[in-house]
Amino acid sequence: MTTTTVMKPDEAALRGDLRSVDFRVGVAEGRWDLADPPGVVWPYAVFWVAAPLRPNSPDRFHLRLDCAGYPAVGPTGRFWDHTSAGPLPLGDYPKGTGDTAKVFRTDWPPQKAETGDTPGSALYHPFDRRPASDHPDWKTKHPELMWTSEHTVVDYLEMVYGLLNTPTYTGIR
Amino acid sequence: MDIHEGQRAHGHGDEFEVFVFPSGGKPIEVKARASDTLREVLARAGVKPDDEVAAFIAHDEHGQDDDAERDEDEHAGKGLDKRLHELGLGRGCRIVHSACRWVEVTVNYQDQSPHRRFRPSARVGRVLRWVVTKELKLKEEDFDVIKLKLCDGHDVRNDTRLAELLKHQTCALCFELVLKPRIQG
Repeated sequence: MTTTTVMKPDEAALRGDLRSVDFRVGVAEGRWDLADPPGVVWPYAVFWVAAPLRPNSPDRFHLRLDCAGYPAVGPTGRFWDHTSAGPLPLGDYPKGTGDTAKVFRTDWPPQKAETGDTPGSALYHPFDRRPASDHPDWKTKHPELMWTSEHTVVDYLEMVYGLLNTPTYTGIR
Repeated sequence: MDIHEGQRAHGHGDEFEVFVFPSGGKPIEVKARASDTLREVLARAGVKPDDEVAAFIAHDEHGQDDDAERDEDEHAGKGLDKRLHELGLGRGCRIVHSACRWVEVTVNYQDQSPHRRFRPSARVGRVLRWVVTKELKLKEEDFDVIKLKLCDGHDVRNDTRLAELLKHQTCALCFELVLKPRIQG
């Protein structure tokens, strides 16, 4: 007797977008890629995003996205330590000013045992479903920044890449 | 993987993917071999180039795509019958196709309209960097609060190549410098 595992629609949708030209152009240009291993271990997918040179700072950051419900529901992501396969220590988060500091903030969300929230466990951006769930007003304040089912993981990666690759990103210190 | 890595990794008979950015359209991935000519690869992407058509080999790997002084992306219009290996092209290379060798770019900001020409392979982000630092002499921090929009109101991403935005055989683009929506707590 053989068993067949049927891939869920959300995982199939993500894997389809990882084959898209938009994603693969970013890979070809060295802007991001799936970190493989671990790659996709549903509902998680680990990516790296390239960062510009800053003193004593890495040339890329890993990001683990929880993609359950993708793309109807936006991913929620956190920086990831690829070596230890665990959350990146907050001291090693990318720092900066303006939106770079705001989105990569390490003082949010507040620790909450029942939800598993810890500071730095989600990016503070309307694309990320975790802060978006706390801010119903963002739908009217930031309609152009909200995640919709038309968005793809490339939009999320592009958002992170854009925040790292600006003069307002200063490195990890 | 960069262009040259790709070339080293493949013999002339091996297939690899390249990306063609057609004028006015989204990038297209096509399979190619090192022995293919540039004309054959463009034709596979639905582009029928002649010698009047420009093709640019984009050299903007990560971290090099927004340098305001770079303009050396190669114009290969006269090299359409050269083979990819002769052009140093391999896996993952990007070929930007445009009927324009240069794009005249104007940016409207308050009562100013600075303009200059860019290669069609340049990205919107490079135009933004030029107008912010060279023309308007704004602070680098201002990248955080402003962005470019097409004058017809359409949003554009900083990583979009100018060739993708060209319509109707025109070789000019008009942008407006606008305030970016700010994320509020």
